Amino acid sequence: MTSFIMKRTSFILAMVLLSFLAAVALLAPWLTLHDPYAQNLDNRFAGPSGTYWFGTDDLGRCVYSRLIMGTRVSLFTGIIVVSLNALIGSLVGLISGFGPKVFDSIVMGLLDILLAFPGTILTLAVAGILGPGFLNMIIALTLLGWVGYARFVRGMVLSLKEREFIETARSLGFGSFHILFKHLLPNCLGPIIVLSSMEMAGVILMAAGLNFLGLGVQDSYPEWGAMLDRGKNYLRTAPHIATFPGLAIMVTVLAFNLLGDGLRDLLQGGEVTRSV
Amino acid sequence: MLEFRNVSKVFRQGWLKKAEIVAVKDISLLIKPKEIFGLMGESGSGKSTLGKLALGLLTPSAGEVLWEGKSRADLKSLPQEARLAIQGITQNPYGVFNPRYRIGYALAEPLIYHGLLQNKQERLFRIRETLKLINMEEDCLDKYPGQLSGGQVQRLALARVLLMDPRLIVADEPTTMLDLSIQAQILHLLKRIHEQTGAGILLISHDLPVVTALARRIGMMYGGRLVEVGTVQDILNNALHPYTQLFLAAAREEAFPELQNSSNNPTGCVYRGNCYRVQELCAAKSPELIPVGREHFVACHFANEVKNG
Repeated sequence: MTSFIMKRTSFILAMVLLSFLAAVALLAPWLTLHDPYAQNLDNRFAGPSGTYWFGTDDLGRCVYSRLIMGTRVSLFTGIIVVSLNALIGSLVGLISGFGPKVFDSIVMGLLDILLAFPGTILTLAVAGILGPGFLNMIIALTLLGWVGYARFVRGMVLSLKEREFIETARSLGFGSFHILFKHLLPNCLGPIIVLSSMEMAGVILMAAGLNFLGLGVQDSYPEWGAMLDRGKNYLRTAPHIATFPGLAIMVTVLAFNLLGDGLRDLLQGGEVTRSV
Repeated sequence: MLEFRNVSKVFRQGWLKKAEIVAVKDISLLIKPKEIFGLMGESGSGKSTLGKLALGLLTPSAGEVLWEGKSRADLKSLPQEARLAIQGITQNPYGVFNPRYRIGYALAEPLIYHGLLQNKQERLFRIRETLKLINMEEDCLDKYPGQLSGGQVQRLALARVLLMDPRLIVADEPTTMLDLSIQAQILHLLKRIHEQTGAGILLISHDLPVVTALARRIGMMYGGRLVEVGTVQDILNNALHPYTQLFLAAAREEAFPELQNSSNNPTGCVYRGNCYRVQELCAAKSPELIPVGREHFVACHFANEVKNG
């Protein structure tokens, strides 16, 4: 019974946090107190107050307003990267698991080579080579992100393939394409969603990390990681500049982790473990 | 008319595919139109493999499977009617439906995919008609396979196959996983379908009463070979192959055989390791099916001697 409540609590807590984050992202322009880009050099490093709830940064910009706008960037990045990863990975996994054995061996060999690279370092290297920019950041995060999905989906397809309804689908005369997308994919979808929600946290954290290192979106753009980067120089004199973006990242990552765990427990899958 | 012409199926396994498992060996068999043919044998005798070869789920390693005189080796090149002419139902009815889809969609899917009934009204009409034939209520269409009982799902599996108007239904152990009263239901249903639609049935089972209740002819398999073929009367009253005799004795609970030797003899008769009639000839030469009656064939070198006493 306790575990039953525990399952629900993590899921419910995640949903509450995520609804809150989604609402903030959607309503961002109406929630800000000040123009997030407006500099007020007379009022730099101001602590939290009635006018500036979370204080101002080194250029006198409202930290609260920037944080609110930053929610959009973080969630948007997370959703785009995870969707791309899941899409590419699932397709490769489906085809690899369902296709001829030789093809499967080749694809799996390539994936093993890709997985042998330390992911974080490769992502950093690629982001560094491509230079800053939103699109480049997405590319860097997608480059290796899909590999985990591919392996995972392939494994599922291999076990589903042996199930009787796939054989029956063949004897009913369905083509491979139909079997792949109408029978195999729908049965993989649940675990893919669980995996995606778990990956989301990692991607958002990695994106913030890239921004922190100056390899993300444009500097003036309100992004949590970049804000953290700016704040770190004034950690002793004006700790609020780094603290609030840090908290925002933490809450978001926590929310997605809870969602992943909650979904996994709810779906009773058990087969999804945190990978990559 | 389904014809197996010297069909063999070998599964290769292991490192460099060195290990060979001969599931079906050199089988020639003709299943006549509108006939119920019972295929019997112990587990691992190759009867299910033969069923899958008929369905086109496996391709023969040697020999040919022919439908109406045309080879089914390249199914895609056949006209749709011939391609879909043979359909099957299996042992585990729950397994054959995708758990993600409602029964209604599962039944309509093949019709939509093959363009058999594009009109939604017509399709629904056909499905309703078929449901009546199998004695199922219409509300099952909105249910998922997991919400129905084994007997219901097996009948629906049969309905899905019937909607495609098959000329031959391969029923691989259709009653094994069902309890006795439901077994009878399914068997009656198969019989009625056979009478109403004229579809032939290849009934694969290890259960003697099931096969004798339905089939007109029986084929007995052992070790991947067809050891005896005959009408139900031939087999029940006049079995000549030592394995068939043993099988019948076991089914009638007269004997509890314990076969000592594996059936994996590369040369000679598959059954010679367990046979009481065994002689030198059996190790040297594999027996062919020889006629001993009008429709009665036995793969034993001494069948005629035994028959004549």
